[in-house]
Amino acid sequence: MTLRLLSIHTLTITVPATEPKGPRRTVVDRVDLHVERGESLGLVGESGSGKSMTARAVLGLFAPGVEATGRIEFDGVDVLAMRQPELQRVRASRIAMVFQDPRAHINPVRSVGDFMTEGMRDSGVSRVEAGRRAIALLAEVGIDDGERRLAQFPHELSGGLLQRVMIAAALAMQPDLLLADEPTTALDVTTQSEVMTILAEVRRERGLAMLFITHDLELAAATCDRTAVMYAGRIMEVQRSTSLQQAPLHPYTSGLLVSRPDIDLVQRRLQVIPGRSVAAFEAPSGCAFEPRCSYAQADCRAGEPELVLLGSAEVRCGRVDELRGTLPHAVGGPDA
Amino acid sequence: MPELLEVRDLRKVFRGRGGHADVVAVEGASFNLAAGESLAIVGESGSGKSTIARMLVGLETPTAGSISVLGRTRGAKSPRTRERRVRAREVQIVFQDPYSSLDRLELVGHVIESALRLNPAVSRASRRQRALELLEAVGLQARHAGVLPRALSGGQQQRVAIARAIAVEPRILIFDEAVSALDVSIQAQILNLLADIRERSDIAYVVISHDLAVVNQISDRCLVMESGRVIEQGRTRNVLASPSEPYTRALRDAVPRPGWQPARSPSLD
Repeated sequence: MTLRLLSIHTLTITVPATEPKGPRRTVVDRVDLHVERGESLGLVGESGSGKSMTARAVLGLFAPGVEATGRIEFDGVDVLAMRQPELQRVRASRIAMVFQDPRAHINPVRSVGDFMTEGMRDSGVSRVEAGRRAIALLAEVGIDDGERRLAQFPHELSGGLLQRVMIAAALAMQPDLLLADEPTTALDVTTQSEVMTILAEVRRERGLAMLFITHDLELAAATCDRTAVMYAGRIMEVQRSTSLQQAPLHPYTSGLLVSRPDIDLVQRRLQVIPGRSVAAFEAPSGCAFEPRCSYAQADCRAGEPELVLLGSAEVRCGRVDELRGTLPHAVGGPDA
Repeated sequence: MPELLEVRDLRKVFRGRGGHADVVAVEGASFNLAAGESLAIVGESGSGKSTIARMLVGLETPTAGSISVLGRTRGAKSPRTRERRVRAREVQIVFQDPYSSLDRLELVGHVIESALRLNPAVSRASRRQRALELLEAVGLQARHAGVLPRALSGGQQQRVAIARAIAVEPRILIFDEAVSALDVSIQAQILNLLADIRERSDIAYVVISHDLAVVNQISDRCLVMESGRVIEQGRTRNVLASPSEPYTRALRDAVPRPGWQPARSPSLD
């Protein structure tokens, strides 16, 4: 049996208390997730769900005071147990990250060429060779006039173009896993569609796996092999994307699908999930989603349901056996 | 009876500075808005949609063309206080980022009460009561009147911004990407709230958005803008179902949905 590329076990992340002597606050609560080689997994959640924290933990990126327990196995080695030099090697060569705001992650006074060749130069590649590779990488993300672009500065490039430069740079060290944190959220819809196409192409050509973090369930489901839904720091459901949209197993997933307005259907009112989402440390005992769930019963408050395997899907709902097949799904689906 | 809002040949040029060329943000935009109607202005960044919103509310001065509200054309001169008050009762705006549009040191209740001062239908003595009613109307509670904006979630802050805008009972309410940044579950609540407000009064909406699904849910008619020009307009349902312009079709095709095959658009810059 081949080793899974990424395997996260009972990852829990806490942040310092807001007041002195207060309890630490949990933001990610016993997350189990995996990504196979070459696979794309969408990680979806609303604000405070813990999706970005989970992704950053894979790179061992923690703000001061943040503590993580559990295991994050990348190619069989626990990232959380790695020392700095080892962690840096993994970050430099095997896991690459693309962020929401490329401008915040690129030095504005250095050229695109400097930015793209820096890593290669550090690992001993000559200047000429690094430049040649950078131009080839830019061509791979649809930028044909690479030579001209390398001489330009970040402010001379549009947001969409700059995001493609970031993707090209991420590919430079031939990573096995791409962590993409809301990479298209700040972009226009047509540019988003372009960037998603490019991601799909480079992934296919290179057999690159991707963990795609987004608030947009429709985008994740439309572009990733599987989609995981997080709520209050927990995984609520993981399924193949097509079945997630057509047969959601968790009332929260179903609620997210039906509360989004549709481009074709006009509804007088949208079906809403009442209340607001909560962070893990605000979640009640019992099922974290219970206060907002229209299917909740007294039992749902009694204890927190486990994430259980159901065929190839996983779901954390105490009533899954009764509700299975009955939850409303996306209105715009092909069978609607 | 005059049209509620009549916009004719609106043009806005931003003068280039430091050797940069002038930028034509809006070119020849014309449209009407009737009482009780909801009009969406759709487009991507740089299309000029937000510049139109800012001109409607008086934050930018048109370079050419006219904006008339209830038959009165707005002059290019800066209005006096009295005129400003009249205008505030005609057009209000809600922005994308509610927190930056709220005074962070002002209690939520005061935010609403200040806006109520512009509304002569509400006496000074009844302002407090009316503010609480407005908070309830947007799904908040009386206890929220006593907190600062930062104690509220993003969705709650946006409700405060909406309550403040409807406090003056404007004829036209503009939403400049006001639901774009909200979480999905909160966005649905706000969209329903906006539908409820329109059902209870003859308030008209101008909805600036890049999100075609939101536009479909909230507007009767829409304008599609590209590079400062209105390239297509009509009933929202028709424009979205059978767009006549390639650009509108490209916008539509870029919306992720089941079975979506994202595509590179022909132009890459």
